Amino acid sequence: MNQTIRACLATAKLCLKEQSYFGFFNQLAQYLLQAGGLAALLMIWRSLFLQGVDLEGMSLSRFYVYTIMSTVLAPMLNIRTPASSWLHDGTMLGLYERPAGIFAQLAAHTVGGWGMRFACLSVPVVMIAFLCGLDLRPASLWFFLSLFLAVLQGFAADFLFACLLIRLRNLEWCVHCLREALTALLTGSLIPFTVLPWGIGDYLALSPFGTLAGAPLAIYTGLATPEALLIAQIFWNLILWPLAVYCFAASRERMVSYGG
Amino acid sequence: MADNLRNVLRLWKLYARMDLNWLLQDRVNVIIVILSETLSNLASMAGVLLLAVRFGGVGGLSADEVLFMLGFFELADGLGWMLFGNYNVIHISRRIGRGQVDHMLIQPRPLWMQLLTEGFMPFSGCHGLIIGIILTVISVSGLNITLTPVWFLLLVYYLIIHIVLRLSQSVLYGSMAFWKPVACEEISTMILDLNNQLGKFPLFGLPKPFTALLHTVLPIGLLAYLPALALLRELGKETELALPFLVAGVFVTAALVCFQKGLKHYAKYSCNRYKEMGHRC
Amino acid sequence: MQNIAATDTKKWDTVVELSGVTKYFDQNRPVSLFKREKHRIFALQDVTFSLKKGEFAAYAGPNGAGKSTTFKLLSGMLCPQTGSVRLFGMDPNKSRIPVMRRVGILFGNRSELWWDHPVRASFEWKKAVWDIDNATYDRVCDEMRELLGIGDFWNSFARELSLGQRMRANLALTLLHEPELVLLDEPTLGLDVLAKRQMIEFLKKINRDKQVTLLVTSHDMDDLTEMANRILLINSGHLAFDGDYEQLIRMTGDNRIIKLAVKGEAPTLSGASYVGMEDGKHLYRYDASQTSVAQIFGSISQIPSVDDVELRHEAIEQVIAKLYQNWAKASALANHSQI
Repeated sequence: MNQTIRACLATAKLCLKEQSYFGFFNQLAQYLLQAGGLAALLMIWRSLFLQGVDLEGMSLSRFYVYTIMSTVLAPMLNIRTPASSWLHDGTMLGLYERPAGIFAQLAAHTVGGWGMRFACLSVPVVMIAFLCGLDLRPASLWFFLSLFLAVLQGFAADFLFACLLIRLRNLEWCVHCLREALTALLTGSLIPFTVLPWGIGDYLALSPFGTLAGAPLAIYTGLATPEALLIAQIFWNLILWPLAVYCFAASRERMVSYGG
Repeated sequence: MADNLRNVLRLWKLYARMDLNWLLQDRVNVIIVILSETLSNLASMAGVLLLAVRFGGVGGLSADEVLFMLGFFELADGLGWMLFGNYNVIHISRRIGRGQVDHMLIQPRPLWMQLLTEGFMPFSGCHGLIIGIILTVISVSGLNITLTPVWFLLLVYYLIIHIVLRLSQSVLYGSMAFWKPVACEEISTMILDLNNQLGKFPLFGLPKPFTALLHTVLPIGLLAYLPALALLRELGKETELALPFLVAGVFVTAALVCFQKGLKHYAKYSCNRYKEMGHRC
Repeated sequence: MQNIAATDTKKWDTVVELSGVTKYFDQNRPVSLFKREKHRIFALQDVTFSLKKGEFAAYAGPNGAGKSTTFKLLSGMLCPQTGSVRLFGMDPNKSRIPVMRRVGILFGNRSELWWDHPVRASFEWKKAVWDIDNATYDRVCDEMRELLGIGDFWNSFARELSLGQRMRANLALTLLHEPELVLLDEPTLGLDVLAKRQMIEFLKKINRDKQVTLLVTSHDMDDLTEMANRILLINSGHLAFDGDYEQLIRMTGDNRIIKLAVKGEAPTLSGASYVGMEDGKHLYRYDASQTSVAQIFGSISQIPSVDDVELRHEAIEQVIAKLYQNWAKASALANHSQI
């Protein structure tokens, strides 16, 4: 096996184990809260439907699937590497001391951290939805390509946010707020673009933020045709990755001299 | 009692002065902080408002009423943020989970007094309150509401209930960090985010058990939806007055008991970690 | 002992009193993905000691010996499983507020400074929180500016201070309310030679002039020797030694070091054992309580090629290191015999 892959696997494995050290029951409260949030959102969609509004011919179950998959796949649709949180205390320096690529290491740390959440929240949610009779099959197999592109683009976006944080130095909270703001509205993870007024959803769906979560979810639920969204995802990947690599390299000096 | 009150006022004055100093000395940073927080607040409201505009209302409220509800939420949230937002007072699980309680224990002041005053930021933290006031004024002018002294009293009552509920939930769940500092370091943030995300949705039309749940165990319905209904339509006044009071009372009691128990546990077992992050910065 | 009200304790002569204090922590250690093993760690076991007003004591021990736990017990952050802790006759856990008005605590790896504010702001904050009157505040600030040189960075942001400046500012802040007891955990951590010297001189001065009781931990034994007149050594939660340095040296053997410059190989010196080489010279150690200086010089005079001789006490660092090493060996042996 390639040395880089082996190194990344070892890192990811350790991150997965690290999550398990927090203890299943200790984390349960957090997952219960998230599950509670999901249930409340589903009920809100239900009440909207009972109001009798026209949702572009979409059925309630499609809305349910959209929201459920948004929760199930949340770590992949809203990529958060440890880069931002490692900048302030100089932990980032450690990555430069290892014989592996920085992006690969950050990706390994991130992917390793997903395991516990998938096991404790995503899998039970999918099972409960299945038992409730919800059809969770994707509307199109293009979803998998879309998800892959979304994850890839998510990493690029996260690295760019890390670079922004380096520029703003002490202002981690601001970058957090900015991200929360953009995630809540522009990525389509909470509310499907198709139900937004004035047709703004059509533009947002193709934006660099909309393609992060809205695109794979829309393809999964059949709310949109895959072609245009996939092209937009490839386009943004081609734009954001070189930009992320450039900004990361340009920020390297600040990165290693900050906090360490 | 009088001594305590005098000390609280003195400390508020002190933290207000420190906040003003920060604002004046770190102007660029503070402006960036205020802008990003304002953007975040507006974005978190935009989803519901857009739904209301798209469908001519949502959850039994018209678009203007939704705007009023969101304005009320922002007003209460902004006021809470201004009073308790600084230095992780409202995100208490961070202080506990990061082993920073020691910094409080060496001060010759009761802990309640420290928690009541340390988070005060009337200058750099007032943006939420200002947005809330603007949104409320705009929505009220578009609605046919008779503004009487009783209405204003009711508004203040629900603002206090909102702040008490959010703080007590944060302390109640945050106290878990006394036992599990690593796993629960961010639990206050999570519960507050959940309140933020769901508290802005109108809850009309939900199944009764679910409505009951969202007005008691997970009281997001009491944060803005029920107050908005009470202030806009004056429905079933007694329930709308008593229920929030009772629920807030239960949460405050539970939070105090858990926090006290947590402190006792802390005195026995301490915290096996210490993180500088977030301590006075 | 009864919990005595704060007003009754002004005349208390015994400032610190620990009697039969035991403190342990239970840990869950992961042995596999799903299995945890309970483990009890004794931070302190039946520790008893007291400090009188005006004493300057060093509190030393290897890493994990229980030093920080003791400080947390003394400041009321922790309470012991058994035994009692009294500061000025009060239980610090129950009477936290009156105790904290009279105690100053500084943990070496923590800062009480407000990060995004000028140093001055932290002092003004403390003045309000500790209820320090204007006259005392102005007087102590002037003293600190003069003795610790904090005036140079009085208006700088705390986040912009160097380590030495931060330590000095932290110490000044700790002493602002004129505490009668000062607990310092590693106050010289990371300081350069000059800053360390300033810090030591300052602590000696406040102990001498103001009769402030000080309990200081450090891993730098030379610093402790210079500062304190009493040393408390703790090992694996037990108080292993309580006395002055002379007693400690006598207990560990009154070792002296001889540095011998000779041509060729190291000669044998009767009554002394060969240690190694330093700067091209041979080092020998002997126990002065067993062998006299005259005997040693008698042996040296019989070596024809001696160019130079140097005689000195074994450094306290080495004495303590040897002690720690012996403790570690004894502990390993005890563990081994249990297996």
